[in-house]
Amino acid sequence: MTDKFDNDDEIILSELPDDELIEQMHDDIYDGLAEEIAEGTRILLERGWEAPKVLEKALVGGMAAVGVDFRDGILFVPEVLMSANAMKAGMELLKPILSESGNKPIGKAVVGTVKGDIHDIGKNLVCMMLEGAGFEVTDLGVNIDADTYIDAARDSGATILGMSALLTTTMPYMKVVIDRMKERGVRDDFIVLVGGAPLNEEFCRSIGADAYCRDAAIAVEVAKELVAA
Amino acid sequence: MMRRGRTSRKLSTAESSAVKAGLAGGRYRPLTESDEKQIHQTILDVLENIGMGDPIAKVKEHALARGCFINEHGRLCFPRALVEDVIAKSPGNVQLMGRDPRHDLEIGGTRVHTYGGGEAVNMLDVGASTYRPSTLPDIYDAARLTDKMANIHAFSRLVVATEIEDQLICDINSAYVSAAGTSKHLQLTFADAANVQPTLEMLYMIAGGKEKYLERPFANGGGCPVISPLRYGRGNSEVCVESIKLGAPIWVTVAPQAGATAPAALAGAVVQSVAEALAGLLMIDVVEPGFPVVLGPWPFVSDLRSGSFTGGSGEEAVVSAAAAQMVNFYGLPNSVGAGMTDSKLPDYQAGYEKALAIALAAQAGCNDVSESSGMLGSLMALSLESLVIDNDLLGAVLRTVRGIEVNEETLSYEVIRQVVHGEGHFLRNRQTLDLMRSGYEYPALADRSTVEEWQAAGSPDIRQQAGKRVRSILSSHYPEYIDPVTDAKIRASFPIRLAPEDMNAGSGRW
Repeated sequence: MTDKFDNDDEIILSELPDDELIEQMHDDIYDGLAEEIAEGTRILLERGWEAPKVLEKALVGGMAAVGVDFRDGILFVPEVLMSANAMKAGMELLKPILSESGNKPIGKAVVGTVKGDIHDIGKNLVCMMLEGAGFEVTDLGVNIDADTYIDAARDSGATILGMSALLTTTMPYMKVVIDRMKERGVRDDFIVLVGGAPLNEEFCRSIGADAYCRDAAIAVEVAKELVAA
Repeated sequence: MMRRGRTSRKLSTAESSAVKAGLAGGRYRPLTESDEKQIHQTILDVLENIGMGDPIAKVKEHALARGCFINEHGRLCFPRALVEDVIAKSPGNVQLMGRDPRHDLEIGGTRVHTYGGGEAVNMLDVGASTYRPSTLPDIYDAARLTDKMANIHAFSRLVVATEIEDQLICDINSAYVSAAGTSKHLQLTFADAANVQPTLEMLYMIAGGKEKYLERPFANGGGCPVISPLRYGRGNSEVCVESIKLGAPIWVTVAPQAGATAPAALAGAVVQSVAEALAGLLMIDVVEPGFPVVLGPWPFVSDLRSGSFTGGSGEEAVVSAAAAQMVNFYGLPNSVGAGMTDSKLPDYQAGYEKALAIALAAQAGCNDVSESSGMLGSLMALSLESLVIDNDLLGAVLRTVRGIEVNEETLSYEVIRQVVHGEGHFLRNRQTLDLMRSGYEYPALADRSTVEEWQAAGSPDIRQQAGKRVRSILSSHYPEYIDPVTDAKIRASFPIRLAPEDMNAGSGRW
């Protein structure tokens, strides 16, 4: 395992054999080094690696440790954002290839902050980490009403509909969205995940959502679980 | 028949206290004079060069007419001369009135008051260890309890009536039960600007007519009109502007979170929060020049391990005190949030987190130390036990604000001489008798008994004692602040959701 504190100039990624390169990329994702990840991704593709394998082994594999250490309080939010950014740099190179070959992501999600609410940091984190885990994510933004959620989910072929709220006065709107889904006969077509500071399990159950996600790392785990089920 | 002496002493015990509303703070200055000047210049730079995004049409129109401009990024910018002008002319001393004139507050200078905040959605019931959603009767109970708390100087919507879905009905009912429960000044919140006028119609009825209300407006409105960093939020901006109609100082609060929506550097958090609060003042001033505003720069702190708000930290305590100091530098009425413990229970953590922040804010001379009664769980819940314990905490803090009077009498040379040459102790001294009530705060709940007494009483902890006090007050204090005739008129005109049967001791709720 290469020492993190080595002079970076001495690490020439192209000279590393595959298994060492993957390890180095994992470290670089952990350290949030976007340029290095882009380079590593390019090298693997040049060596004939298939895009889905690069995604799975190098990128998603690297984010796994980030998720665990974030939950254990070892990595702080700003560091996680840097890692997600590095992951994204690799994804940018893989996306065109993946969509060309018709490869499916782990799952598709639409995520937004509910109508009346403009807080988005938590939601942004969830979007980034879902992408980091291999989901295709449409970030709807803030102040999203029921029909916008449902139309976007339907149009993008999403399986997951994620709602965020920070205000005690806007979280009731989540129920409005779910009721509208029932009205339109599409409730069972989607997995509804909810999150935000004023929420809890009880609220999630009372409005008929599928799961309450306490933080972005948990959102990713729950999303993976429910999509596989 | 009691001797007059005993009667008058009993009366004076009930009414006297070593502390009161409006004691002068300001001795704690986390910022040096040079710091204040640099922060001030940076604030002016922010408002003039970076400006605010998304002003509502009415505000934009008036602001441009006053000499503001839209910069190349499409943002509304405020020339520094205008900002300094508004700061200089804006009322530095404003009045908040209670239904009862005894509860009138003179907000300004470095005079310290403790009240306000809330909007939590959970209650921690007496003796409970889990939370439940808050309801309208909880607001009523909180108001009645606050009515009896000498160190909580006004009442705001501490919890939301989560069971009422219609926001207009919710706002009207919240105002109604608040006015019914306490004769202190009411700090109101509105979900929409359209809810202000209907609520006002009800307040007029309570006051006995529009004229009577405007003579002594016992409620004010306001909101959080900024989406940090530096963007006006439409809904709350409209509520703030509409609140001019209430005829009382508008409360403007901004709460950017350091490290998330404000700089992680605390000085930067002060710069941004004060700039945003001034943007709120400017928003009102361009529409209604000279209208009184209470500026609430509330820099929040993030725990960057999770990104969420933490109210109990040392950072929160010092940065809030600094924000108060800056608005005092401007000579304007101010508020900050303090007492925002992250603890979910009224426990040791809650105690130290609340005391630290409240003490620093009060010592900095904050005019309205807000969120300082009853809040738990990072502002997610209200606990009535916590509220009564906080009343004691506030009493102790205010006593430190009152400080130490040094004069020939209090220096006590003569008293010392007398005692040393005479009785050899001070217990029966005239001075001791004179000062034992007026100079000393006596907490209602803090246990100061001997170990034996305490054990004999069953080793109670303060939470248990607080619970008893809550029940005792709430089972008996059902004030009639709205007379039956007016009440009937209100109920005929508005959909009031708290039944009259629940507003008297016979309700059995406590």
